[in-house]
Amino acid sequence: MARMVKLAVFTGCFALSKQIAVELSTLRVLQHLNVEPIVPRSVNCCGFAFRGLYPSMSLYLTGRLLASLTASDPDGILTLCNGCYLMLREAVHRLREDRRLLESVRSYLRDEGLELRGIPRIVHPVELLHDIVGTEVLKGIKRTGDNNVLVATHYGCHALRPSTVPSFDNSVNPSKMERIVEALGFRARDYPERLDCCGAVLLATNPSLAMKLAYSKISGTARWGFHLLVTTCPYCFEMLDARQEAVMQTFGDEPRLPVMLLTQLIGLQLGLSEGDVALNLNLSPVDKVLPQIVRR
Amino acid sequence: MEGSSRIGVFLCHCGTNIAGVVDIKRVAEEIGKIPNVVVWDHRFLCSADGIDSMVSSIRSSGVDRVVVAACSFRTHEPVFQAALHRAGLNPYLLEIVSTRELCSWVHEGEKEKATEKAIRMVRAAIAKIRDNRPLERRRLPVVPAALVVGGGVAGIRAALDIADSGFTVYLIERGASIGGNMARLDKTFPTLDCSICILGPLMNAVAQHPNIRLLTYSEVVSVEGRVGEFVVKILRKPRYIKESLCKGCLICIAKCPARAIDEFNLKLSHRKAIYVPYPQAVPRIPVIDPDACLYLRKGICRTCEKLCPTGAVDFAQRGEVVEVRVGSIIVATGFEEYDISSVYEYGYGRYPNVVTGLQLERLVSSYGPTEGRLTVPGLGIEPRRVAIINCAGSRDERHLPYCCRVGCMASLKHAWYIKHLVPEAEVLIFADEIRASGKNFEEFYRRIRLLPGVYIVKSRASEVRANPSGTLSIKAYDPVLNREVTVEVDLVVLEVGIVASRSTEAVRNILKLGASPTGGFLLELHPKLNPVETAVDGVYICGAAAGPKDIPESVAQASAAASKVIALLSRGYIEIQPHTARVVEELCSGCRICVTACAYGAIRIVERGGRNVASVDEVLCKGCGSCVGSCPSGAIEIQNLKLSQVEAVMSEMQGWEPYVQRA
Amino acid sequence: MSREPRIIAFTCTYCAYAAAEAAGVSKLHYPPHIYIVRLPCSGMFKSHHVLKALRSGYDAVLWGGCHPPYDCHFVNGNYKALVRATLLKNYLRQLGFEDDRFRLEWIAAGEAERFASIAREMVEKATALPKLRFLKHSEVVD
Repeated sequence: MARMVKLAVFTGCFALSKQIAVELSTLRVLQHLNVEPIVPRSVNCCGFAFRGLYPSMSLYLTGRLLASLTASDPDGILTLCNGCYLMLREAVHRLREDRRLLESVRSYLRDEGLELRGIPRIVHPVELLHDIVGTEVLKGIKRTGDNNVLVATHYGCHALRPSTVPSFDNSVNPSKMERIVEALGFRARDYPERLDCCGAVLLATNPSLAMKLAYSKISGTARWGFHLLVTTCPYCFEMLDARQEAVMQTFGDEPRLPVMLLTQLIGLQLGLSEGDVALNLNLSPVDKVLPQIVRR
Repeated sequence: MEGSSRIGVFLCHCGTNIAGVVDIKRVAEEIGKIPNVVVWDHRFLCSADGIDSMVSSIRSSGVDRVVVAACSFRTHEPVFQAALHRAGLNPYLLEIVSTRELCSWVHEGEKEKATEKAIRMVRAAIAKIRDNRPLERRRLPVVPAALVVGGGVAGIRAALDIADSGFTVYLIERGASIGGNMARLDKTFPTLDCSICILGPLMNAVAQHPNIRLLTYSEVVSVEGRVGEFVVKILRKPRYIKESLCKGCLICIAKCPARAIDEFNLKLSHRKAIYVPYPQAVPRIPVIDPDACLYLRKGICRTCEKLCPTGAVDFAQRGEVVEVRVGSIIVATGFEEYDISSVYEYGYGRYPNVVTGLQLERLVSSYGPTEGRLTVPGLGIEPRRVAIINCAGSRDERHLPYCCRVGCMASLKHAWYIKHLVPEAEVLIFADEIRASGKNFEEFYRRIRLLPGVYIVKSRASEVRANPSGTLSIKAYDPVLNREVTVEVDLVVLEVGIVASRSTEAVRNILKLGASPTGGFLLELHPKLNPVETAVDGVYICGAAAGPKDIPESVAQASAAASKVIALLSRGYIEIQPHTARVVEELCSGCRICVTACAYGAIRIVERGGRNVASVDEVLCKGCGSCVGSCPSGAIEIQNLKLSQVEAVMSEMQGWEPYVQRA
Repeated sequence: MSREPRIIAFTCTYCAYAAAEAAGVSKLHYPPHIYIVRLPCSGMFKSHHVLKALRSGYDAVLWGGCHPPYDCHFVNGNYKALVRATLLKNYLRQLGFEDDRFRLEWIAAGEAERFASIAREMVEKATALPKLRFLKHSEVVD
């Protein structure tokens, strides 16, 4: 990798307000991977909240966001949240396909003095690590962990679906996250619950169903003997990590699946301290697996 | 010279179909004003009376060209051409104007404008036909032999039918034995006949028929020529066995130390490097698999050579290309199962106890990997509960949009297999619906439905998941219970959608046949009226390569294709349609652009008077006009559709000024 | 709108012309301003025909063929038409013709409704177009 890659980082509301470990660990890891993050001066909502209620408003918000994120002329936009990733890649896809739509979004933006010049590349954290940084670079990191740690991967629905909107991997059978995990020196394996929903999107409208989904995800994953589950999405992380105890207790079970962010795992491999990657904020039983990952 | 021709125009009322919208009287008046044109009209021109009056009108008036303003040329051109023939005119001096389909039926509310349009259309036809020339159909001889590609049940049936009528048949099969997919089946629905017991006799009949030359382990390399005389090159892959010496004792197989995956058993077991695919194979001559044989790979072993009592093993054998000449070709390359591992949610390829319907046939077959005992792959036990999932990959926009036509009945048959072999097992069939629309199919459905322990869940299964114990969980929405159900089973059978076999595409490209956009099924000339003909004259299709179908339909279609071939071969000649391209040699510069434009290789460059010019082979030419479009000099034209004729049509439809006679 | 446009449709026998006939059989009405010429295959595409049609007073030209990739009765005539039509479209634009003057469409034999709606659309658009005027040789100023 010759040139430093410049990416505008869009954190999204949830990672900013609740799962701050997502942004902390990502920015920390990027310093070591020859990626220059640009933190934009002003952003707005990605439009996800309006997606179902008011689609044109939602598209306008996404367009507005694209305009402010591309103002610094980056190589792409790195979204930290799967919801934002879906909104941005869907908008980019629609604007690329439909010239008239692009023109109408541009004309609304012009009223505000904003300009949407090009249509940027939208980058998911997994895509960044697998395609831009590359698994070769990850393989080059000095191993500190135990090769026998079996890691479950969780992509999150909005990273891959709907399959009609282009994404960074096969929408029903993705494999890039597994290859990243293997490049880091751990074992990854397909498991039936791999693409299951974490339940987060239902939390507002149908909380009991959301809890049920989270429970079947966590307990289903745990029975395959995984030592750790990794994800990148702050919503999934919230559901699987922060709420794991509540979820398991609701169904009379014990929390038993350590959950980490993929960037936290990479940070630990890079030799960063647990505080550096905000591991102290994780609520799932990560202590169980920590000695196998960090051998000091 | 053409300007002096007299043109007869016949206006058909078609009852009120045309006359109800178009004012025929006014059309007759306007057209009658054109010099050298005589107009008649008739209430039903295509009736016996209409044709008779047309013939006598042509005879008595002495017109030498005819325009008919009636309906579609597609249905009525032969009728009116025959009338011209009876009246002593060349049938190609006829032009049909579709005043019904293209005018009266689509402009019903606008009588005035429709009449005007009809006048313009007839005027255009008159302008065009002035330049038509009489054309002759030509006759060419037919080689009294046929080629059948594919040795499944369709190919076998077609080959036997043609051979029985006394013509030579070359039957080519890519694999080591004929029999196709039907040989893999244990039983057939709805009668539960033993599949190989009814197929075997046909296979032996092929082997012994004096008129059939059976070429197994062979592939078509190239086809040249045309209907009546195709020159076919066939690659005979090396078997490493001299077919003339082998007696079929199969001693060679017993001691072979090398193993390979058994394709006949659909990767469920292993076979030796030297093998016959299955006990009933025809011919009963082994093949040595060069990718597995120790001698061919590493230069050691040669055990089979030492054991063979007749010295038939020949490691020096090389592939050889043979050439045959045939008058007609039947393509019956069959089907294969869709790659169901791409339907990720059903877990095929990820879990060993998810099998396809065809694999289940092998699992229960007496000459399959378990010799007829049903055990679950991966678990090694008899199944206690089995889920059969219908429409796997079929009727699914992400995969195959069409119905496989055999899955529903196969699923019932498979339920019967399981109940027959493991009576206490439970079978759940997950199916949106059961399509039992064949002879005795509904009766069979009822019979299976009433078996104790067979349940039909009226829903598509949404997902198959493994459990740590090795069993599988099926998720489906049950509309009866109105909720999602999860069922734990030992074995999942997927009734997989079907696509044309892999070799179909190669044959299709060689023969330049069309195919359906999904599934790669060969395209018939017309789905209703020409189901076994193709766009290539003399090439016919049958069996599952032409579309999803079951055994009786394949066999019926094979006989249909064979009868077409027999009709062609026994007539002994072909007539060629005369609308071919023709080169105006004075204008041709020999630039070769038309040579590359022609999809049929019908144009060659020849020398004429010290100059290179294009020349059209009238037998190969289909008259598509691609060369016309490509020619920068306007030097190549379709007969009776010359550039000047197209221009005349254009200007007549545009111009409403009085008719100007061309010089 | 009083203007009566005239449109010519060159259609291939096996798909687009069949669709036009099917529109007739299904009695799908469309304006009578469109005139249909039957060619064996869309691969007979000749820019000459389109230019000649526009020159001789037609307001717009439709060229109809079979859907790629496999529908063409003559193997790949539709692709030949596509290549030549793409070049011609650019050329027409350079010459100053409006985009609506020439249209290449794939219409399968069964797509009767599609044929009728294309015919309606083209007539509607052609009605809005000005009548073509060609400069006489003496009018051309260089």
